[in-house]
Parts: sequence; C-alpha cells; structure tokens
Amino acid sequence: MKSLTRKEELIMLSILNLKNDAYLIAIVDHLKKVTGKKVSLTSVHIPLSRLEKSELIASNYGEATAVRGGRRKKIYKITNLGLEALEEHKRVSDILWENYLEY
Amino acid sequence: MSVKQHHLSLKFLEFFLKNLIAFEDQENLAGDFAEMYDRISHQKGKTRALCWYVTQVFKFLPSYFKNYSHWSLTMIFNYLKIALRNIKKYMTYSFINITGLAIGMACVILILLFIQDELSYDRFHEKADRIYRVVDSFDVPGGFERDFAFTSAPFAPTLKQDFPEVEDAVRLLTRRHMVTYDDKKYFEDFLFYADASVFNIFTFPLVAGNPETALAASNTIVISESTALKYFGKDDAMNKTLNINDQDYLVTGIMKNMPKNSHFYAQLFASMKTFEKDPELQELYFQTWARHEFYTYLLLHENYSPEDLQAKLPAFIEKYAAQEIKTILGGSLSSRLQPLKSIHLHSHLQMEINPNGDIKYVAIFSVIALFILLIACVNFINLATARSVNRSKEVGLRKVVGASRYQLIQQFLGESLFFTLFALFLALILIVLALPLFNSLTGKEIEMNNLTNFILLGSIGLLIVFVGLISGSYPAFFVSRYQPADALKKTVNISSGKSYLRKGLVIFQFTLSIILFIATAVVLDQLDFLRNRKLGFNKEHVVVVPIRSNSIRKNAEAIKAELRQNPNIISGTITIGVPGGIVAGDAIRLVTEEGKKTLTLRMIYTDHDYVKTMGMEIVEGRDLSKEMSTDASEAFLINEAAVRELQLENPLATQVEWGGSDYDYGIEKKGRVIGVVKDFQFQSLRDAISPLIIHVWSQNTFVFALRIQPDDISSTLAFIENKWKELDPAHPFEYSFMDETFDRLYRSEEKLSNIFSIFSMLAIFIAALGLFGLALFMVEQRTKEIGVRKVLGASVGSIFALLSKEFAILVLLANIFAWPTAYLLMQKWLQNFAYRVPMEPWLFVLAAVLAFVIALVTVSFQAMKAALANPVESLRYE
Repeated sequence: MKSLTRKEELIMLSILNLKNDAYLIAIVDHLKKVTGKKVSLTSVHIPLSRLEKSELIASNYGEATAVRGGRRKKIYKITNLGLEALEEHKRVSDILWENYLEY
Repeated sequence: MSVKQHHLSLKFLEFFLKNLIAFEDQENLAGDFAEMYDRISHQKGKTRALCWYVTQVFKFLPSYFKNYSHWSLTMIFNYLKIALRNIKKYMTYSFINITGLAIGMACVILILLFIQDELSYDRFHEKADRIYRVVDSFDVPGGFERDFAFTSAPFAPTLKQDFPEVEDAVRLLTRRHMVTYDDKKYFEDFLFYADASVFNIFTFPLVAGNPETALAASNTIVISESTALKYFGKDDAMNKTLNINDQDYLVTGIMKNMPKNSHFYAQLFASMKTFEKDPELQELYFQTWARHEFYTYLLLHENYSPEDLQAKLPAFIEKYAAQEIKTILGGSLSSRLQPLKSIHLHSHLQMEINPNGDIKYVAIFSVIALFILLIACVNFINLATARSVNRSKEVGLRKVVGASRYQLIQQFLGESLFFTLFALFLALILIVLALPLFNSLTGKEIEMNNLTNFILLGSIGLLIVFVGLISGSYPAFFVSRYQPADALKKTVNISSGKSYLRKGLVIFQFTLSIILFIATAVVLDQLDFLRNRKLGFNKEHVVVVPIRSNSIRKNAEAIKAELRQNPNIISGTITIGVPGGIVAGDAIRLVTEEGKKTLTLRMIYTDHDYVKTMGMEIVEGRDLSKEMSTDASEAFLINEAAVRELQLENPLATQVEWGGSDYDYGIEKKGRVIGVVKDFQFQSLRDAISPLIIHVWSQNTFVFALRIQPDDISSTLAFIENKWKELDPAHPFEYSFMDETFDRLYRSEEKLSNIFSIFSMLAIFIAALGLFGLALFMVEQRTKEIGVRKVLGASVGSIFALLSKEFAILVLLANIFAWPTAYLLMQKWLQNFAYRVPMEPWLFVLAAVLAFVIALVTVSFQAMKAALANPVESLRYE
C-alpha cells in the first residue's frame, strides 16, 4: 500500500475531525488553527485531488450558499481504504516514535 | 475602484481560473474561492482580496501545464495512430496524395534553390554595396545599338581624379589569348587585363602575393589556384613566368578560385600597365574617349550616393569626351552607373562579359512552381473531401466521446501536416535524384548543401505550414461541423455544395495544366520558328577557324587557292566574324546629294568572298569582285535595312568615306556603294536587322570561314587541320561550325523551353493523378448504382459514358478559362522578339484534345472496371 505524506496525513486527519463539513475551506481553516501557520488553498487542493484519485477519500456535493455565488461545496470523507492507510501509517509512526524520549 | 469594476474584474479572474482547472473541479473550487475571497475582503478589504485571487490564479498555472501536456500527448499519439491506419487502409489515395505533394514540393524547392542562386550573384564581395559599373549609352544616327556594358579607357582614372566620391576605380579588358609555359599552351577564355586596384575593389582573396602591389608593375600576372595547377603542377607558381602574345608575365600572386556566382569569371588577371606602357596601344586605347572596350567599375565612398555622381556625369562627359565622340562617331554619349548587385539579373546590354540571368525567368519559374504546388494541393483537398464521407463516423464518435470541434480541426490539420512532412521527405529524395538534370537544364552548379541556408530552410518551413494548412483546411473546417447524430446514422452525404467545390477545383487544376501546356507549345513553336526562319544566308556546313597569325591574314588568297584543291571545300573568306558572332560598329560619312552625314553603322571587315561563302543574295548592283582592282580600296556593300533606314533613293550612287580603324581623323577609304545585299540575320532574331555595311579590309579579320560539301565532313576537317598545322604551327587548331554558333544565340530560350516542357508534363501528371483518385472514389461510391443499372439491362457502353461524362465536361470547361489566359500571357512573352510566330488556333485545340484524352484515359480505367464488373459482386458490396 502507498504510504502517506505528512501533508496527506494532516489533511485526512482533518477530514476525520471535521466530520460532515469537510470541504476545502473548512480543511484549510482547521489546519491553520492546528498548525498556527499560513495554509494556502492550492496547497490543500492538490493533495486532496491526489487522495481522491487513489480512492483514499471520496466526495459528494453539499449545499450551495449565497456567499459561494450559488455553487455547491464538495465535501470529502475518508473511505475504508483511507482508514486502513491511516492505521498503517499510525502503526509505523508509533513504532518509530516509541523510544524517542530515551535520548 | 468602483464596486462595479471590482465585480467585473472578479468575474474575469474567475473565468480565467476556471479555464485552468480540470472540469470536474470547476464548480466547487470556484465556490471555495468565492467564499475565501468574501472572507478576506471582510477582514482586509476588497483590494487585498483581489490581489489574493490573482496570486491564486498564478499558483494554478504549473498544475495546469502538467495536465495539459499529458493529455495532449495522449491525443497526439491517438491522432498519429489513426492517420497511419488511414494511410494503410486507403493505400491508393495516400499514394496519390503523397506523390503529388512530393513532386510539387520538389519543384518548389528546386525553384527556391534556383532563385537563391540567381540572387546570390556578386554578393560575396565585401564592398558589393558600394561598387558600380559605368556603362555606355550612345545616341548616334544610323540605327546602331545604343547600350553597351563597357566604356572607354580614360573614364576610370579621370573619374577617380575628378570626383572625391570615387574611392577607387578599376578597368577590365577581356582578351582571348594563348598562354604558354614551356610546352604547355592553352587558349584562356578567362583572361582579363586589370588595373592593380582590382583586388581593392573586388574581394578575390590571394593565397600568395600582396594584393596591393601584385598588379602594380607591368608584365605581372595573378592566376587562380586551378590555373597554377594547370601550368605548374605541384611546383610553386610564384615568380615563374608565363608567356602571352610574346610578352613575359611574372606570376606575382595566386588567388583563390572565383565563385561561380559572379557576373564575370576570371582565372587570370594580367596587369593593365603592360598594355598601357606600349606606345602604340597607349595611343590606340588609352588616349581616346571613343574606343569603348573597357569594363569600368567604381568603388564609391560610403557617404556619397550614386545618384549624385550620376547627375554629375553629363557635365563630365561634356568636358572630356563629347567633342571627340561627336567627331569620330557622329553622335553623343551618356553614361550611367549600374549597381554591381543588380548586374546579373537586370543588365542586358550589348557586349556583356557573360550572358546574364534574367529576373523575368526567375519570375516565370516561380509562377510555374506555384502552379504545380497548387495542383498538388488541390489533389489533396479533393481526395480528402471525397473521403470525408468515410470519416464521418469517426468524427461522430469522437464528438460523442467528448471531442470539441476545435480538437477535430486540430486533428485534421495535424494529419495534413503529417502528410506534408512525409511528402517533404520524399521531395528531398526526389531533389537529390533530379538535381543533376536540373543543373544541366539551367546551366547551374547547385548542390544539395545549398539547402543549409537559414532563409531557405525558413521558407521550406513556411512552405510546409502553407501546404499543410491549405490542404487540410477543407476537411478540418467542414467535416468537423458534422452533427454527431447525423454522422453516426450515416445520413451525411456528399451534398451538392461540396461537389461543386470539388468540381471547381478540378476545373482549376486543369486550367493551370492547360495554360502550362499551351505555353510550352508556344515556346517550342517560337524557338523552331527562330531556328528555321529564312536567315538570308546558309548557316549549314560552314567551318569557322579563328585566325591567330598575321601571316594567314596576309596570305589569305594563296591559302584559299590551296584549300580549294580539295573538292570538298567550296569557298573561303576571312572576316571579322560570321553571323551570330562578332560584328564591328564604326562611323562612316555618307555623301549624298544633300551633303555629308556622319553616322555609325554595323560593319563587317572581310575580303571579296564573304557574300559568296555565306550564301547571301545581292538584290541590287553587284558583289565585290577580285577582277575589279578597285574593289579592295573603294567598294562598299550595304544591306537593305541600311537603304531603308537611311532613305537612300539611289543606293548605288551613294559615296562613302570611312575613317579607318586607328582613329586618326584622316580618311582611310573613300568610295561608293556597289551593291545591296539582301537582309540577313547577323544578330539574334530577338532584334530586328540593323543597317550594315560590308567592305574589304583585312586588318581586322579574326576568323577564316570555309564553306564545305555536306558529305564526308570528317575527312574535310582532317584536311583543314593538317593544312592549318603547316600554316600556323605555333597555335593549337580550333574550329567551330557556324550553325552551332548561331543556335547558341537562343540558348536561354532553349533552356526555358526545356524547363517548361518538364514542368508542364509534371503538372499534367499530377492533375491526372488527382483525377484518377477522384474517379476511383466515385466508382466506389456508385458501385451499387452500377450494379442495379446492369441488372436492369444497362450496357457497358452506357455505364462507361455515365461515369466519364462528368469529368469530360469539367475538362472542357477548364479549356474555356485556360485559352484566353494562355493567349494573353504568351502574347506578352512573344513581344520580346522582333520576329514572332503567330499563335495558331490548332495549338489551343491540341491542348484541349490532349487534356481531354488524358482525363478520359485516366477515368476510363476505373469506369471500365466498374462497367465490366459482375453485378452480383457489386450488389453484394458492403
């Protein structure tokens, strides 16, 4: 299975955290809040499309609002394949992180 | 920024952004961006928000390009695959298309090479822009030609001395002399006497010797590398001695061989000083303004314009030359400057060093090449259009799967470009094969690596794009318009509109071919006419031997008697030149009842036997005769043109005074006209016959002309050769036949007719090829119809007629357009000639019949096949 990059990990975890309102701007806001750094739309959009292409996440269309010029949101959620990938990622990370305090 | 403006720019940016992102993301991303923009404009103001939006657009560019190139590559491979499959599937069509295009492009590239070569003349001189030639224009009574490529000797030094704008000047004098070294003797055709400044003005690099001083002293010579090899072999040629006309010349320089694209070609430059030093020649050539024989070139200073200098020339001539020319030639002289770079293509004066090219022929060739290319393009368009029906399914399917019209246009144009490139490849092979033939036809030495020229490669690139776009345009723009539903249902048919276009194009093709055909026929006809016109003399069976030694000239009568012992030699004469060769021009004074009149006429110096040997006719009076002892000293013959032009009512009563050849102002010969000779063509038939005077004068005779019996020519020649070796052992024996020399006057017309014939054959071939393709297609389309007709009882003949009729009508229509065009074009060309062949109507009819027959034969092959086919086969088709 394809291993996840840090960015992909962050995005997928954000989607999990945001539950049913995980669209592009919400994810960007969430990442900004967590990391405290500037996050641009493109830097999130591109990994998102990549993840969607490899079927780790899926999307459907949400409601349209006036502020969006009447256009619908694209809401992402994690697929089962995505969950597996995250778990695998966590397992490897945990092993690697286990004894870091001993230094 | 107003709210409205703001809104507009936002809309514009959004549109831009949408084009950069993949289709499926367009809606939601635009929404996301709008939301973000809204938030930023609330927090930081609208301007900042707008700036943010712009940066977002830029951020999308890299991913856009990545995506774009990925998909377009995929599509290009698909297009290529389809194109190749189509070539394979329709082999005949592809063959017709590609061959036609390849031939057409080969013609165009050959012509481009030809034009490039013609335009490159004299460009290799570093100072070419500042070099001008001084040429003559005489205004003298007597119908003597006016414009000459040379001028008299004092011009160069005097111009340089009088005008600060003349930086340097050089004179060239051409002489055909024998050059000797030890036992090596050659007549040098490319020997020039030149001033020392020749190497300053022209760019002829020396590999040995100093260009500034090489020709400064008398009796020095500079030779080319190949000439050095010829005389001295591998030895160093420097400081060796060559003998020319009993004078020794020291080799003081060796120059690189001259490039061929020069309006004069020199192998040896001997110093003009040698000439000038000789007291006799000094007087004869260098002190007179009336002996015009020197090609004079000026190098002008950068800051002066040639127009200004030219404006000062009349005053200059008035100051130095006018008086002398008035006295000697009885007229006036004006000179003008000719830019060096325009000499080759634009100068057609009397006595050019070499025959020059002609801008008209460059233009004619270009038009022919364009014709052929157009005919080939039309083939492509026609067959592609015809076949577009077959491809309608593909178009429909592509549209259903989501291809835009734009993409289809791209595909079809790309396909025709691909075809064109392939044809170019074949064209290059054809050129390699055809280049030797083309060179011998045009008398050029073009090589394949002339192609590696930036401008030429550029024009070939343009050519490909042009041909590709023209040929691909119809299917690209029209086929791509099909509605997918119609296309797939196969209800699209060759609508009448399209077939009109195709018919129009066939007519166009055949019009061009017929024009070319008629042009060729007229050119050939005119040439034939010129060759066989009544010349006024018998050009056959006259051997011309150049006179190299004075003893031959002095003993001409004895030699003639000796030669006549051979029964095959009928008569002989010594003369300045035979018709088609050199004719002098000199001033005479006519004494009539009205008084004395000085005028300049064409003049032939000869002996008593000229008229007899040439087979001319005396129309009034009598011929020169040895029995009349006074004929040598006081008899003149004139031609009919002179009688007409000078309005002599009683020509035989006309007194003539002649100043002689050495320009002292005394009278050399005084006498009267004893006979009028029937007009004979002593120059090219392009010009009308000018007035001429003939008299006995052995000093200026250069050739011995002998009329021989037509049988056993080779033994007669051997006899003459043996005799000549006894008479003049110092020089190698040379001879020529008068008819050959005379025919050489029409060499440029002959070249033209050769090229015309070949190109018009190619044009007709390509047009026929296209017609063959169309017939093939038509028969394929109508297979079922033919089957049904046959089942119902149609005869083979009626089906054949049905299929052929259509094309026959088109070809007949083409004639209607072609005839007047060809007539007008060729009438214009014929105006170059003083004597022209009438354009016979049968020639036009012949062209029509020929085109008709070619079309019919081409079509009938297919038509017969279809008509003879078993209806069972054709009905089972599909």
